[in-house]
Amino acid sequence: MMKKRTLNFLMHLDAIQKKIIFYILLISIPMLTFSLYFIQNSAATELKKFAEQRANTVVNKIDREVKDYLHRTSTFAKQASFMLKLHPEAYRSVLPFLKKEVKNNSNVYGSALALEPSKMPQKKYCKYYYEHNNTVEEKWLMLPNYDYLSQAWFSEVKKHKNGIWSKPYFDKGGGNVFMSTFSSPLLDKENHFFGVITADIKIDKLSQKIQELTYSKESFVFVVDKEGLLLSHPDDHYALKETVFSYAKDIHSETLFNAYKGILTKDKHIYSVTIESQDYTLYSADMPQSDLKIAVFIQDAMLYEPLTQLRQKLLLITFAGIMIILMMVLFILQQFKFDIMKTSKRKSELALAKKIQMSFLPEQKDFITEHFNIHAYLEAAKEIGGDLYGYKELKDSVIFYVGDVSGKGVPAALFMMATQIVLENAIDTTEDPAKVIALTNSKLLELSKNGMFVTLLVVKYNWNDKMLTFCNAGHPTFIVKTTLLFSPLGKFHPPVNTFANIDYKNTFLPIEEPFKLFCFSDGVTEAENTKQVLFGIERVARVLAVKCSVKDLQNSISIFVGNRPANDDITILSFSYGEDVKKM
Amino acid sequence: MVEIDKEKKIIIKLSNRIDAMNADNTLESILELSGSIDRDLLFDVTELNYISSAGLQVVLKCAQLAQQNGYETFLKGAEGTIKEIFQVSGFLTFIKEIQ
Repeated sequence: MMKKRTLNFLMHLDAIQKKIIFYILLISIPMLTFSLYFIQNSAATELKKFAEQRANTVVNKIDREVKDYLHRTSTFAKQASFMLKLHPEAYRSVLPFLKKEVKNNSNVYGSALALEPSKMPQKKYCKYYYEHNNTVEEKWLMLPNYDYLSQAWFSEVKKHKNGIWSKPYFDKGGGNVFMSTFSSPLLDKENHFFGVITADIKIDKLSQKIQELTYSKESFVFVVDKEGLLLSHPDDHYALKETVFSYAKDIHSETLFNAYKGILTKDKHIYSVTIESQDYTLYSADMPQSDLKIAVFIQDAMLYEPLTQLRQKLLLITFAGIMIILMMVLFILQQFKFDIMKTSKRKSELALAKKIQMSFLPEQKDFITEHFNIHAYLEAAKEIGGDLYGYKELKDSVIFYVGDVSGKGVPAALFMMATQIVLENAIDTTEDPAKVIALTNSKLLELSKNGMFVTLLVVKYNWNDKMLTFCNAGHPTFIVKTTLLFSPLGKFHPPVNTFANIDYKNTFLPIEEPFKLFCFSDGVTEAENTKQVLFGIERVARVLAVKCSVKDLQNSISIFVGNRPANDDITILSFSYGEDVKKM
Repeated sequence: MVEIDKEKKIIIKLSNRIDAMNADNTLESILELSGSIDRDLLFDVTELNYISSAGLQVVLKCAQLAQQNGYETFLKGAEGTIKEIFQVSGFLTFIKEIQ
């Protein structure tokens, strides 16, 4: 049965437990969520940077590829120009060369030789070879159909005297393909301009090559010109056929539409788009030295995959961490609770033990008869103690005793009870104090061998004989007050339960007058105050000389000891005989 | 604190304090260090300041063992409070004092 105080405490502990859990969660969850968010953000930023780098790499790769292609396909025109440098007048000699190139190079659709009339041959000249139906055809590109002199591919080169690539264009007449024309200037040895050799390059192959280089499910590339025309696209239906805007409309991607609006107006260069319900991040870059824009698409799922994994792991760790903390806290609190309950259980058991122990002592602490008074006081140092006392009224006498078991606490208490029972039994057998002690001694030794001993003082007063008979086995001496105050000494005996066959002998003291007798345990004389001074027998005598009662002695001890906890059981028993004793 | 010397008697020197805290250890040390009780015991308490009932139990145990083996127990150097304790507790009825 737990005390109400303990029960309240346990309920309080439950409330504390709930509070602790609440606060742990309150603090840890936002903190961890914030950390998670922060880490995610950092990781996402890093991943984006990485993706951008990758996109740049792709762009460079494409750039190189394009340059390479253009270079390869236009080399012949430069070669032809070079061939004519020293002998411009032999311009006709390059014609077969050009024709052969158109025939053999599948990427070259056509090639033209256009001459500056002011130089030679003093008239307009523009011969054009082109692919048609698997053969090479030739025609003159001249007035009235065609004024080559005003064409950009002629005039610009004339102006700058440098090889120029034209912008990609759709040439209906040229076989319905997208092309770009390279114009190579013809310069004589004095660096005077005298004509142009062109190469019409089909760029569908280039477009395909770009896709080959860059396409994967998670990442692909568009190339557009400044009007949005798809020069390269994974899907042949759109490559070199549609603009990115019509493509976006076809697949219902508003985000793509808007992204390219931004790209072509040179707004941002990174966009989030959704194509066919997949999310991509679009990185756009200009192809160097051109109007073309390359867009690298990276699927978000792939881009952020490390992040997703990281997030999952972090969540798991966080969750596990919180769980562990909670479990530990709960465990500690449970332990705590358990300890408290154990302690309180033990306390209540000891309290119960004390009750039982006290029940064996005389019921009446103050025993008053017509002949004598007995007053007793016992205070255990712990819940249960090792002191004992008792008395028995006989025919013309009374026998009483005080005893002190060596040690404290449970062992002393148990031995005390055994001693008391044996002793009471001995008193039933004999009235002789020495014999009482002898019987108790032999019986205890018989019952069990343990290292404990008990000091005993047994006193009898016969009011017929007026004789005080006592026997002391290792116990502190007692004090008698008549008109004098003295301490009778008798034979010393070893304490009880030490050796067998001890010769216990009585001491006899006749006392005629009224008297008071005080016997006590050594807890009285050895009571210590805060300065570690002992109460001592002298002080006892001094107190009793003036105030001759158990209560007064107990009070003095109390005051003397002060706050210091008792280190031994205190027992005081007083025996008063005689009518005038009250005046003492 | 306890020191043991084996001469004509087993001399057990107790110093400072013997109380509930160190009584068990003291008894253990005595029994260990003295081996078998094959001669009289002499307790030298010249340097002993305090002995509680737990300490007395230790002395009693040794005296009992000595008696079992047919030997006696002696006490030397008891003065003041220590002497009083030994006297009042009746221990001097089975332990003899010597110089």
